[in-house]
Amino acid sequence: MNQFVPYNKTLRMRGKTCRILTVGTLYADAANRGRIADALSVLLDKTSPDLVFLCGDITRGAGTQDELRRTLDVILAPVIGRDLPWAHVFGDMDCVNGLPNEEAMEVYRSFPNCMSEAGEKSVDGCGNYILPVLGEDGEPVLCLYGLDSHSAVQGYEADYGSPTRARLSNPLYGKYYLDGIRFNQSMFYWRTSIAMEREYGRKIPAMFLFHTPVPEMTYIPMNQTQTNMEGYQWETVRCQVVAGGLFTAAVERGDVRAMFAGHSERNDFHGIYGRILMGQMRDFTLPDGSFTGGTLFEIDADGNVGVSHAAI
Amino acid sequence: MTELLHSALRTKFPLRCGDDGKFRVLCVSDFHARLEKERWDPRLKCSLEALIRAHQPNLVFIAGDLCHEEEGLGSDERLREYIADVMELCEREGIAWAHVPGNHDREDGIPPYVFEEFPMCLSQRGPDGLSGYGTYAVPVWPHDGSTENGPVCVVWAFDSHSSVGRYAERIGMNPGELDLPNIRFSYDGYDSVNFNQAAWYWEASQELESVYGRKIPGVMLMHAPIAEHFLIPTNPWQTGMTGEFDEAVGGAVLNSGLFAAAYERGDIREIVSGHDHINSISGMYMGIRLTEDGGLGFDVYGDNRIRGGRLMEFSETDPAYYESRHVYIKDLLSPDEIAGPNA
Repeated sequence: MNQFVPYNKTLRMRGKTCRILTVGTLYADAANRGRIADALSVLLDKTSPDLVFLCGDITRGAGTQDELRRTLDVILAPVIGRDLPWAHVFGDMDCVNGLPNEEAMEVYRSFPNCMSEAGEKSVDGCGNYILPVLGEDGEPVLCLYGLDSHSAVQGYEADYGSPTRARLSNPLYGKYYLDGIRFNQSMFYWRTSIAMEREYGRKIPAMFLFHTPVPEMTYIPMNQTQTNMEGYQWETVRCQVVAGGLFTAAVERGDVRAMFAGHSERNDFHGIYGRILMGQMRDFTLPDGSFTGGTLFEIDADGNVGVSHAAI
Repeated sequence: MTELLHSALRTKFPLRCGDDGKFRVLCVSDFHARLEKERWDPRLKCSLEALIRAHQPNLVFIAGDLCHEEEGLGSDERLREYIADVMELCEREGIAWAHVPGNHDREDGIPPYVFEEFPMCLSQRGPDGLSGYGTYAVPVWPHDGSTENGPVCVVWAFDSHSSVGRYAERIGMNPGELDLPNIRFSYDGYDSVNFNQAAWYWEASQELESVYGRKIPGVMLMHAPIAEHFLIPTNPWQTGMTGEFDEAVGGAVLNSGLFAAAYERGDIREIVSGHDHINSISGMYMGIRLTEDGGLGFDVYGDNRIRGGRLMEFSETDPAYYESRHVYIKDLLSPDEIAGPNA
């Protein structure tokens, strides 16, 4: 374990760029996992990523570790077969069928090339970690954060003993019972960012990937001209109910270049707000069983993040 | 004790509970005195003194907008004269008082040194590195002066700044960069408590718990409301709203997660703001009371039905004890006194 910030693994750039392929909401199960693997193979050949990132709702929740292992065996095969490193975060559905995320994490981490970490126990959730992307010279180019956006907001009520419901008839942000990035996770980023700057004598560019949108992501489609929005919004951005301050932490630190969430069947947009490239990525698997694709991030040697859609 | 905690607990003099073991904070706001005029409306002082005499607070807290300044406050001497007049009772009778700046006070904060000259004033500039002028904690100790069990409660004061444009400038952006035409609940581009201030509270609160082995109850006081204040009038039934709601809650464009910080720490009983003069809304959300205290000043728009403040009470013998209510000048002064000589 590194002394000043909690990370075990790094990703080394080969050349001047690093390509991260993100796919979210695969809803893999016994019935569709073979087809998901085939679709993912096509996508990998098309995009040649350096890292594959599974952005939550990888399954609809597994009942046992064995069940999860059988599914991951199939869907990770094209990634591991190409000897690609991969990482993941959990979505709101991954824990709903009996297997808690902590136990699921053991299964994920038992697969080769897994870069995901369970993260510190003092931070809420499972899977809050950083994966530094190093340049060819070994210096950090970008600090990739995986953050656990939890499940339903009832979990947030229960964890801290709220006497009343978090969700009201007229909420500030989301009507969808969603938990999200909590304040103590924003503090995890805040402290890590400060520690990185102290260690390297400069701000290290950062990027967040997590499943459930933060409230500020809703501002992109609401202000399409001002944020130079690209892509499309088909449905309401389903964001967390209680704001955890992640966006303000990011703009006050000034090192975050991009933050993306998933959790939408059809929304696929990004824009710039507060100098941060923010967006929502569409689901890999649609309700009719068809597959869409993923989002490709290209990181240059200065830590700038470019984004494009990667259709199958 | 760490430097963080030491700085969080340092005050000019120790603030203690009354001999009855209770600690009462009276929170008032929005005086809006116009220092460029010959004099401010005398009903302000009369009302404040009536509230203090009736409710015997151990701390009088002014939650911003002491002045109404469009073009600077003028001289320090004028400000001194104003404070000396309005806070005369506190200074004369040894009642502690403190304040935070509001969006109508000078942008760089009313000069802290003017306040520090007043012996009973506990206002502080606050720890280095925090944005603004006036983010600090006032610990309250038992009436016998003992310190071994830690503070009875903590009053957390936050500078809520002015506009989101100034926020953008403070963090190195152009003023318009964070402003957007369409946001969820705010109309006027206000700022509120920033993330670095919420982070300071979080770390200080954690250290208090680790040093004293228990959560120390507290209240958060500030000028501009946080976004969650907006939930009270929009969900009056579910939040059990009381009080008047006569103008939009001037919420912040961005949400720094201060409410989530308070909820996750579990030591905050109530978050009180000023800013909206004709609102005295109060309701509960996730175990934390969210309140606007109503304006007191007479040099600005207001409502005599709610002019007054928020009275909060802690007990040194029972950490679970907490009471708070709106207190009205209409219960203390005659209609003629409230209407004033020009009525």
